[in-house]
Amino acid sequence: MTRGDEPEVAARRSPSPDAPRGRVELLGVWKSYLEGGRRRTVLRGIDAVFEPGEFVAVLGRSGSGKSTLLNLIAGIDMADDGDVVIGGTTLSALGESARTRLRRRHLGFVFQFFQLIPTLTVGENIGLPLELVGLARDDAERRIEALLERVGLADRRGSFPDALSGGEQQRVAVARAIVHRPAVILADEPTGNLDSRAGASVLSLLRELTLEVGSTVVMATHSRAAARQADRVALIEDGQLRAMDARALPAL
Amino acid sequence: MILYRAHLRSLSTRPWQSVASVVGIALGVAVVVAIDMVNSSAQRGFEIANQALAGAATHRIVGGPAGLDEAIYRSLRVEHGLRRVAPVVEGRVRIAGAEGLWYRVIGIDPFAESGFRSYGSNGALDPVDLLRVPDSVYLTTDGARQLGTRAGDALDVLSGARRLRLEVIGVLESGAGGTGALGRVIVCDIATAQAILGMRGRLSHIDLTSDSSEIGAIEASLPPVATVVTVQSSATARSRMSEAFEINLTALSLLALVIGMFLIYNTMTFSVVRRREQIGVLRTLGVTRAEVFRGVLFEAFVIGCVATATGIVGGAVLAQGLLKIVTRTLNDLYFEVEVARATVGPVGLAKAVAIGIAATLAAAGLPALEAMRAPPRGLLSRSILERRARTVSRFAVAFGLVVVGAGTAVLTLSPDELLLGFLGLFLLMFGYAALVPFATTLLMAGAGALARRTAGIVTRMAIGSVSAALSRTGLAVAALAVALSATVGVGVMIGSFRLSVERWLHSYLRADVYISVAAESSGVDSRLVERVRALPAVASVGMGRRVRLEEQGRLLELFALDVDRRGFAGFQFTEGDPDRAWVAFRDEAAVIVSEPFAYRRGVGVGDEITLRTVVGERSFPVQGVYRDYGSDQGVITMSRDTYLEHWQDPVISALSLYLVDGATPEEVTDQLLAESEASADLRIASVGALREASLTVFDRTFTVTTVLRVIAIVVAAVGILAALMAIQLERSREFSVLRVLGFGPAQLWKMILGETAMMGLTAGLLALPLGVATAFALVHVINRRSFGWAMDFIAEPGLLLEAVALGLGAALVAGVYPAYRLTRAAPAAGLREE
Repeated sequence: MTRGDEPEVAARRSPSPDAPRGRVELLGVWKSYLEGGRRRTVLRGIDAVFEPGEFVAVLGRSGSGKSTLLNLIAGIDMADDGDVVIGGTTLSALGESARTRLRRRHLGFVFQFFQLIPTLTVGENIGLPLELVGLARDDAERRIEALLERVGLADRRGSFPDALSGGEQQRVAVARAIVHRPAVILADEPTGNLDSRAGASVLSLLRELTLEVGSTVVMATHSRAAARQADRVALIEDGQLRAMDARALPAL
Repeated sequence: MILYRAHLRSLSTRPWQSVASVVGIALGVAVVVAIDMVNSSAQRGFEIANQALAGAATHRIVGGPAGLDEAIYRSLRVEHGLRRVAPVVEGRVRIAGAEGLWYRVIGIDPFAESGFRSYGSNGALDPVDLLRVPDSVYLTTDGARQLGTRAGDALDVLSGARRLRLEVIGVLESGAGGTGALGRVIVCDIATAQAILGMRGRLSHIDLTSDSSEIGAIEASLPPVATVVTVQSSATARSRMSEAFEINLTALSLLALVIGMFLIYNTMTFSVVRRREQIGVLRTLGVTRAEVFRGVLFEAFVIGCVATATGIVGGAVLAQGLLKIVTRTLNDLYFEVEVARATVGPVGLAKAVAIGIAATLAAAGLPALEAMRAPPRGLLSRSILERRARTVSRFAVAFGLVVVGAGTAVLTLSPDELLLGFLGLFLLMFGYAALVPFATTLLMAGAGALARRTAGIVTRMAIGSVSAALSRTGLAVAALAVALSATVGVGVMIGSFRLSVERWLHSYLRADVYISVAAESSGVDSRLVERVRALPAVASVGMGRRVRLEEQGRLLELFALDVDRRGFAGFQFTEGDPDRAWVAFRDEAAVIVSEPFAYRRGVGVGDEITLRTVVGERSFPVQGVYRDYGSDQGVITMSRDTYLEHWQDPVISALSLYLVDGATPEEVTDQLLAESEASADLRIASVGALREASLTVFDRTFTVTTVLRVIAIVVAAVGILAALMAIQLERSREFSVLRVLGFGPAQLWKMILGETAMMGLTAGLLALPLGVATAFALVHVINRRSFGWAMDFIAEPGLLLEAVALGLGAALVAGVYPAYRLTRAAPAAGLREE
């Protein structure tokens, strides 16, 4: 699916080897699970392209396959058929370690339940991806300081996550997702566990920071309010991905 | 670093579990360190004392049971012109008024000592005084201190039937040529020592400093009964006697460590399972599998370091307590050794550090692999985890059966190697542990079926939750089952051993009263023999002489016995025909050998044993093998006539008295005690008292085993407590839901305690087959290979029931705290947690 295309008519494409690093391509992706002895197909040959710097909301009901789609893009789950291509790299061609390296360098994550590491302080949680990519300590410190200022938690650097409110924890999670300037950020229901005010604040923060870095954002949500913040909205239904007009979103 | 900080802090989020892990491994390390310290200190004490006694001697001329004729020494000096030779008379005595204390008498020729023992030649003692003052002696500092004696005091020594008054003319200071290592020693000249020990005209041995080229010539000049051995081989032969005993102690200490490893395994697994989501997040963020693996091992490493440091300190303390028990057993059974303090050297410390940390890392290896395999975020739900645990438990059955098979094969088919025996036993335990989770599901299925007809919903839920949460309960039950089986195994082995010894004592000790001298070199006065024979209550008297011979660097015990057919019937033959053996024993210079001797030397009926005698080397046919728990080195028993003919040693060291009908052993014992001179170093005991004394020595031997067993149980209990608490506390959300649904505190108590009780009971029941198998292996393989003893196998039902009760009790105790905490917590708080 490219901007303006209908997924039903999108032809199966080949990966683009010289694609910019923030480009995400889904090429005929199928995924099914065994549940209670029966196979359930969640994604049925999805073709789509998310362009660099785009903020795309994937809207769908519970169990529609939103999280599965994100897991496939992250390379933490593999498609039964078809390919996921990130910045010209086909994930199925990579081994486990290479996928892990790709994740730590080029991807960032925001989860519904924040998923901060409880035994690390706010500063350490944000610094973790920088340490994984091997950034020099001084540079890392500067980035952490700057981001803490931006997310309004400069005075909470030494606090542990359980001392923060839900909204604050999600702001830390956003900072952690962006700190290493990834090409793609995957956000799975980032406002799902927040009240509407905190949710809106986190979303605008996410939007603001990713615009500065130029990251592509793919956000799974079932919230119409959250989806309206996106540049583009795609509805996932019956295993298919369909472009939606953000002004006419269905009730889920 | 941040990643390692996260792992480090996760240890402090569950302090009780971390503390339990540290305690488990620390106790294991402490026991290993303590046993190692005690063993090595005892060995070192023995070696140092030996070295102080031998001085610079390189070789030693030894003779038969009666020692050497002193004419041999004269001939070496005068006819062969040897200068670097020194005669020694050596033996043990007791001191009047100092009950229970043995003193070693060393008689030397102070003028021949130059170049040998430094205290004999460095001016610490005055040779002229020693020769001039009749019956004069020196005491070591230790010896003088323990008696409160000073120079100029008199000393009454008891040796066999003799009592002598000696004059202490000096105290050898500790620094004087290593006498500090000697312990309680009396140093005197040759003639005084001969008088004390009843060895007129005889020497215990002659020390030499010589290079190997001269030895052949010296040996050729000696009479047949004498031979030259190296001082080193002589010391090694003595110290090797206790080798199996020490290996057994080490193995038992390792058992405590293995149980401690289960504890680490449990804790780390729970820690990984609890953090599976967190690990998944880390993996999603780009942390590699290797980094996760290293992180979990890092946590274990930290636990290992703290536990090892604590264990080493604890071990040093424990060692001081065990030292007394172990050295007493070494003195009872093997050789004299006196060690004031157990110490640990750099090698011992390095070993402890390596063992503690390696054990912890090894135990954490599987959980670390599990963590490494954890897929990134969200894919591992509880139901998937449990489904996988059930699948794994089925595969584990096949794995466990293979390992049990391998263990059984190693135990039964391997050559007679003690360490292979222990390897087989550990494989057996490990393989069985792998069977436990699946067996638990089967038992729970059975209990569930029973409960459906007889019990209420709460009981059914308690039973159901054991197999429903197999990923957590399976391990805990396996660990408890292994710990309990070890206690059953060791308990049944000791029980079997004790009963076998009791039966043997009843058969072996047939006479009514026994008289013996405490020191083997001295003998029973011949006048006493006549007096005893003349007693109207005495029907007949058997005579015995027990000596140690040194043959080709090995020590062996020889027992010369003058008994009638009735006394001979006390031998329980495991090989050979008793009637035929009796005839050959009495008339044909045949010998019978004890089971350990036959086992260790690989001899049986029809074989011959060649020994050095005063008339040259002679071969003796073996006519029987008999059961004997008196010595694990083995004994050769021959008739006194055969012994006299070949060794010309008329000394008698023991008498056995058979009484006429109507006479009671106690009366005769009392009469003999009253009549014997107060000076005599005689042990006079009725058969009952002797059996009792033998069993006291037996129990003393196993004191250290019991101590180690108790420690192993404590380690297991700590582990189970930690594991069960973790299981229950992890389920606070589930219990909160039950509270919301209407469960009252009483029902929660019932459910939690019901579940832990089911786990304890299951562990107790599953421990029984492994416990009995362990006991079987200990009795028939480990003990046999250690000591050469075969014994009856007796599994007392009471002991088995005790293990089940212990499992149930430990599990119930473990359930109390979680039940208390969870029933007091507000349900809403539990629902918020996750």
